[in-house]
Amino acid sequence: MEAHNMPQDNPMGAGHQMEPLGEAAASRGLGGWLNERLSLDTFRYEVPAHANTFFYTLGGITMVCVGILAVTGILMTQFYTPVPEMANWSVRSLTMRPFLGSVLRGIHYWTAQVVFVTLILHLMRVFFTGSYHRPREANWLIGVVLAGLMGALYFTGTVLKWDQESFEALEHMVAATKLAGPLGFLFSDKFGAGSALLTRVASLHFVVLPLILLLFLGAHMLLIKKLGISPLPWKTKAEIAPEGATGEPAGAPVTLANSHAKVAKRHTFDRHIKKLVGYGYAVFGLVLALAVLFPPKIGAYPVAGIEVTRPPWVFMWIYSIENWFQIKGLVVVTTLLGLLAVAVPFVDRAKTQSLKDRRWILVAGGLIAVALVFLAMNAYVAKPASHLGM
Amino acid sequence: MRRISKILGVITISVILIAGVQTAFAHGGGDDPKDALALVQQAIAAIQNKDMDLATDKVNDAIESDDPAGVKMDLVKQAQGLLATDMDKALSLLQQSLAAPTASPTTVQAEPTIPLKPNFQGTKTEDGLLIAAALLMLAGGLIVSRA
Ligand code: HEM
Repeated sequence: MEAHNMPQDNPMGAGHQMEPLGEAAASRGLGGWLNERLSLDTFRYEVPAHANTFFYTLGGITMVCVGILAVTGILMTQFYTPVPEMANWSVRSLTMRPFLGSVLRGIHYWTAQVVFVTLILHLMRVFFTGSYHRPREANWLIGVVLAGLMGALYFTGTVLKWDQESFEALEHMVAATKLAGPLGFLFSDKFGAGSALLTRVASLHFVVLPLILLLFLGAHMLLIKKLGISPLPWKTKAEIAPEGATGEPAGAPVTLANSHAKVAKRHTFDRHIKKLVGYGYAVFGLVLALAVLFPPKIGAYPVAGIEVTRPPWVFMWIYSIENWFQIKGLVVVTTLLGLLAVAVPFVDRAKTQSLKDRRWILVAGGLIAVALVFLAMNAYVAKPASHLGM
Repeated sequence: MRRISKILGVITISVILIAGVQTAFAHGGGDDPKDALALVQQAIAAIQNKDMDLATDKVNDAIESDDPAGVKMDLVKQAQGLLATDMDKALSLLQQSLAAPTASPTTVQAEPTIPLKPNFQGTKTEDGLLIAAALLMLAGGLIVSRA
């Protein structure tokens, strides 16, 4: 925190500073004008250098994607009709009739793919660096819930287009909820008579899941702010040889030039936000290009009684499990995986975040990741099979 | 810590047990339809999803069905001969074989007017959007590297 950002000796309190605060406040122009009114300086607090690196920005990029999904999703609901007779047609109508309708759907679809890549990378970063260690266990658990919610949003999203893949996905959900016992009743086709299951899935996707996601995202961010970003699990060059941090050999005399370089290297959170704006532009450009070049497909209106489709890549690993152990395997393995994720901060008993101390959990995590990739690849080569006893 | 491991163990075993018991009561999907109409619809979906073995089974079943109502069987028979050699032609024959529209919601009336596959066509709008996309990525890269 910059000293001039703390007006402790201002008798009128923080809200009534008589002196201009900080460089940004003092500067004229749009930035200064906005800062004076929106107190943008609030975000200029210092953060460790590693907080502004790509791998520690993946959570933020995920958040930016969630924002793009929200905006494009709200726009798409203006064209979508969540009843079985109309859903498939209304999605196709959206892609053909309104100006840029196909691009709108494409951006939503491709952002959903990108968000899963960044989410998985973020989870892997947090796991690898042991950032779930005390006192961040709760934030890891919130993260597990966020991952589950994102999975549920992806799943309900694929059901909405109501083609063969959607229909079979929903049938699998119904079968799985039957296995889940009383918990599954709420999501079964027996509950909510009078409303089509598709319509209820749509309300989950449009309202229920986003609201819960927002709640947990808020808690996630609050805890990151309160607890600060976790330290790196290894020593940085600067910590090993403080003078070396500016590029000179360790022990070199401090000169005017290298002390300036040090000041320039101060890392603040507003730089993190600026980077996120940059990543946001880049991601939006990417999904726009993908939406134009590769508009997402949609199949014909579904037919009951056959199983001919595979799930999207996010769930592909589950498909192998189903091929071997049917729906029961799906329920058991996803539950186990969820429990394992929950257990991570409690079974990793290493006192530090150091990679060496956490060898075995890193190996275990790596093996699970390899197993999931193997299961997914196996599912791509397997022929679609029947899991519902049709 | 040991207590937590124990609790996790108990939860895991309960979940497996509950799942195991529930499966005994699980409902095993529907029976195969007997009417040609549903069978041809299934064959169409199978072709669209490139499962030709299933499509062949369904077409054979449809031809042998005792309930051919709503289906032009001569077209289905023509399609049967083409399944292995000309998938597109077989698909289109099967679609024509269904007397539209039926009570089944499968034949939503507007369906043929809205194509299934939007594709990149290289229109001026699309080219403009691609340029915009490139500029956005460039601007993003610049902002990231300068921040
Ligand atoms: C919608 C999904 C998610 C969003 C938007 C999100 C966002 C963020 C952001 C912005 C940060 C700050 C640091 C960074 O960007 O790397 C962060 C940190 C963190 N996230 Fe997430 N996250 C999500 C899901 C998850 C998941 C799935 C997990 C793990 C199961 C997780 C666990 C954590 C933890 C423990 C931290 C603190 C890390 C530290 O202090 O180094 N998050 N998250």
